[in-house]
Amino acid sequence: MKSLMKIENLHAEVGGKEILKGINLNIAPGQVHAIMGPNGSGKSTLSNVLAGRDDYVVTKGSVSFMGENLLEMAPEERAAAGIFLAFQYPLEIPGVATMTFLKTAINAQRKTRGEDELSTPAFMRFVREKSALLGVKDEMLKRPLNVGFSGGEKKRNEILQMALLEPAFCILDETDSGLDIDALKVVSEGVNALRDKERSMLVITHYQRLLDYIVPDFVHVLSNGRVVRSGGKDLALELEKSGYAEYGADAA
Amino acid sequence: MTHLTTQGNIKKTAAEKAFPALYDKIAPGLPGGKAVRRLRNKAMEDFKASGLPGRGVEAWKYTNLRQLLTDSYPPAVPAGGGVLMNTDEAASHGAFSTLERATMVFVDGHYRPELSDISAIGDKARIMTLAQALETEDTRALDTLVSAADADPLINLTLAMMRDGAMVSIPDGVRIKTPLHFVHINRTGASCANTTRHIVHVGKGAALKIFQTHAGSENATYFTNTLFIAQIGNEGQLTRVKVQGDSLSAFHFGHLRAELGEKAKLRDFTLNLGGHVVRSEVDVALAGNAADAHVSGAYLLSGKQHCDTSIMMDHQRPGGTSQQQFRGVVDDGAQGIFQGKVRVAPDAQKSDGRQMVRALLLSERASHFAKPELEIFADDVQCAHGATAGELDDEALFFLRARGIPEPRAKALLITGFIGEALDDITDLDIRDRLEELTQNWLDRRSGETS
Amino acid sequence: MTAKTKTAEQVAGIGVEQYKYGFVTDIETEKAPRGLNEDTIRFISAKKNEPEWMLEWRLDAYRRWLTLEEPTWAKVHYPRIDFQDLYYYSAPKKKGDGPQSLDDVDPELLDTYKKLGIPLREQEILAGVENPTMAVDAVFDSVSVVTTFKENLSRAGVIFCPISEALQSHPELVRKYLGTVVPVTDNFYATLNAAVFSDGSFVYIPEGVHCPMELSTYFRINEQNTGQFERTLIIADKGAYVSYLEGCTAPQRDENQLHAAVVELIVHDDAEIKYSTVQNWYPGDKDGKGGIYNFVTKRADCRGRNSKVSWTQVETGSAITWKYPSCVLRGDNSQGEFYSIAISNGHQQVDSGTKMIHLGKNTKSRIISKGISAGVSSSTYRGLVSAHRKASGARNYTQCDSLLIGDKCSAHTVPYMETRNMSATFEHEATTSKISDDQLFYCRQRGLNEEEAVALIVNGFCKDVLQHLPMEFAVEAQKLVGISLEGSVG
Repeated sequence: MKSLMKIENLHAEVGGKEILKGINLNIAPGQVHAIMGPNGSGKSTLSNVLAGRDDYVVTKGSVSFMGENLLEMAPEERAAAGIFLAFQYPLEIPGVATMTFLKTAINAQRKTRGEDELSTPAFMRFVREKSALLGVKDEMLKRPLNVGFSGGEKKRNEILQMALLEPAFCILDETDSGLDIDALKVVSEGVNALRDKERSMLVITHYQRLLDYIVPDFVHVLSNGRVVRSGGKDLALELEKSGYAEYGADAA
Repeated sequence: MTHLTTQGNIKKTAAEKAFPALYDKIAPGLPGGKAVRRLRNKAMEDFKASGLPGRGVEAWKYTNLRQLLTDSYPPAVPAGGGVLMNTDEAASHGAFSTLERATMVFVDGHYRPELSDISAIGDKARIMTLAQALETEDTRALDTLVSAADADPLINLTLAMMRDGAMVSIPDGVRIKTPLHFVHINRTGASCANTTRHIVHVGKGAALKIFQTHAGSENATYFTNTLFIAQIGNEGQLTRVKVQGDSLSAFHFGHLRAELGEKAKLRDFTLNLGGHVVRSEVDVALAGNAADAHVSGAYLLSGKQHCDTSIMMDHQRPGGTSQQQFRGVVDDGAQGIFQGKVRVAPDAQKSDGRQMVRALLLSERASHFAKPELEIFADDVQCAHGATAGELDDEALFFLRARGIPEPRAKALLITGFIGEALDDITDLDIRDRLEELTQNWLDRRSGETS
Repeated sequence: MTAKTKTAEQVAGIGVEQYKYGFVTDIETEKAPRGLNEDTIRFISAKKNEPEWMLEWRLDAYRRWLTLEEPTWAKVHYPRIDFQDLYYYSAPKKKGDGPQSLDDVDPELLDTYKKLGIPLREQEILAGVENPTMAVDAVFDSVSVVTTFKENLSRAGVIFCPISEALQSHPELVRKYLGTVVPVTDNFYATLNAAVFSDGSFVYIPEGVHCPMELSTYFRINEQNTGQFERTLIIADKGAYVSYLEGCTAPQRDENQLHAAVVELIVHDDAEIKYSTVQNWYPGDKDGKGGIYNFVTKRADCRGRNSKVSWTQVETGSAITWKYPSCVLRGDNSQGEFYSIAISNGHQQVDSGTKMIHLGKNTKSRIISKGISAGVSSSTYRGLVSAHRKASGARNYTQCDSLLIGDKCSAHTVPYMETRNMSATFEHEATTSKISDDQLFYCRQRGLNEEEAVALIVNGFCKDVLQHLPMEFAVEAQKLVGISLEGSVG
């Protein structure tokens, strides 16, 4: 099978405490994999390790992305290579207009890839087109990044960035948290619109609810730092019924 | 030390000469043996060298004592025959007399056992007077006194001339429910000076609540200088509620110096109502990790009162949190001053320091000076301060009057609400009621005068 | 290693090394003998061919200065300055006497300014744009070398020339206003300046005139061991308006150099002066060696009703900055504003802020100060807002925020609020925080490298101030914010 990202025996610790204890995953282009698991099972740690956050120390194992060693790359290099992390809690940056941030990010990535920077009119056209699809208003783009945004607006802003940056690999970290059902629908539609046969996704969630809207190809259950079970989308439904009890929810 | 350099060559004022003269006169009669005497002498030498804080001393920028302290002060007359005060009368001089509490009464700076009652605390705590401790050369008392030596001239005066005070020690783990009330009464009509030092140790995990009140005969001129040293052990808690209702002709200097251990808590509230010249100082050293201090207060000033509140919040260790919340109401030709500093030492990461002072000016002749200061040497901190000054909100006043509330009542209501913001930390409703009552009395007096 | 420490190290290590204006112009100069005494002052005064009263004024100041002590209250530390070891006058040698035209100016000098991005040849400027928007007075060490577009301006009645020239052409105006805002006796450095000031700009905008161009002065210290003591005097007569900009750079030298300027603004009824500064004096190297001591007194006197002054400053250079551009709000309804960005890196020390003195009725002031400290630098905001007895209805709003990058730097906030009028309303807010690791990681996840992320966040932090700069300056300032803090971008 052709692989976009291959995670082998990944061990990682935070503040000296081992959180990931040997993760194996192989994700092919176009596939959507869901990671489910109880609180404290290591879901968010996995997303942070893949995005290259400092303080998350890989102690063993490897991750290859498009044949490259992902773990050797700086966060911004990973971003330019096509890794996108939709944050569970998007950050606020006062004084920096959302539009300015988007342009800076897109052009920084283009520059790293050796591409020309987008001209301002071309960029504006591009943003307008994508933001209309997600129902993001012009007014929101002028406001400082995420400052005073509602939970729904922040998540929509994350998906807008995803649409603009056109990553090869998207990590959605608990994207459903803090969203009501209407906002969840809008965000999911945005995500689904980005699904194609090249782009892969890793959807991290505690609840099955999100997977009604973003239907995965595979579901993995993470418990105590390991993948303890893998299956198709039906596994999520099963978990919804039985809960995480048998996967050591108490271990959290 | 700055005092030395800035004032070395300046001519001494009458008060600056009077204090050493007074000291020479009373020193033989002050409690303590040779060791104590050495401390006293040294402190007086330091005072002589520095003089009183005057112009150019930044910490006293708005309270120039060389100018404000014009008279000299003979000693407090030792308590003796002809005392016409009974326990009830003594109690009535302090606020909180209706609440359950233990009392230590100091009349003109002398402890008066016959007026005091500490039975409600019993033997749960070690309580003695400073005079006793000094006479027996209690080593703990001496250690604390030595560690509190200082460049501040007023503190040096308390060390040189201290006559009495409370020495309280709460053993580890003991939580005293009954508040302990330090009642300070200045009864003498003639001018006098009294100097007290309280030393309070709160053991690990122990808790103590203190009331401190100051009252004096109406229009009596006197000088009172109190240093309160508090040491709060790890996870210990000290609450102090101070009401300063000295005579409107008095000079009041009150200083709390608290050192907090790990996860120790301080809750301090001061209501300043009395005094002609007042300096109300609180120095907090957050000396243990994750210590937590809330220092708040209010000052209600009228006539020609001059009231200076100066706070130092020193975050020395990581994870400390502090809050300062002050409200000032200034009427007539009075002057209100607030100086508050939050200092965060280089290692004190994750410190959180907040400070807010708001002043309300009720008269065209009233003044308010604020200097809220941040001094930050660590990067991972959240510190903020805010300060406002202004008059009563016209619109709010109009709204209340439009609802049929007469103007003086409407103003009183708004002022009460304004002060109330500083009372938020006082969770004990009985105490809060008393403080609100005192505020109300002040307002009633004021509207009585204006109507 | 955490993102925080890494960024802090990069910022600390490279920021001050990036100083782009550190070159030296090799040019023949004429100097006063080293040291300071009455003869030095007579020398300077004679060089400028000054009237007798001016010389007397200087000598008075000098005698006064001898009795003063250097102030020590600011949070800055530096070795004692030996005032006898400095040159107080240094000027590029002229080819003959008389007023200079551009053709007389040494091409080496013109090239210096060109290198600094300040073209002085009018035809060059005109070749670039259809309508010139800015006139420049170029001050090199102790003298003004050229002032552009004087003709265009004089048609509008605007006087814009070196102050030494104004003393010849408009002595009555200079005499009427000089020292009326910052008196000779004001403070140690201002008094020194009064004794030895050599040049600076003079601006007079007549009644009702909206100055047709932005006026700017570009200060350059070139010569070694030379103090620069410029004096700027700007008068906006009734209903006039002017926007004035100043920029400052100096070569990279191992010794500290002294810059003690005085700026006086006089604003009459309904007039407005907008004064912007981008101060980029050499800050010293990464070990704190060299750099300019920038001890400056700037004050505006809003004498007229409805007069307005706005100070905007971007302070990124100098080893030590000591300056408090202030407003005396004397006229009823007058307004003062102070917008400041102060960036300190390496071993820089900044003690800066403002004074808003409310004297008139319904006067308003606004202070926005943003301090950024990195490296082992220290940054202090010191400000005074006061309302006097008669200042009914005075209003002030102050906001000062500090941002810390790295754990070796410090930030201090020392505001004074003095209210002597019940109807005055003052509001003050201040915060101190750091760039969070989370914010940095978020930006990096979107593809920005650490330096770009820091620059972006800091620019966001400064936005409230940057937007008050004239457009050309805003762009320059934004870049400067980046350069002052960034490591190796790209």
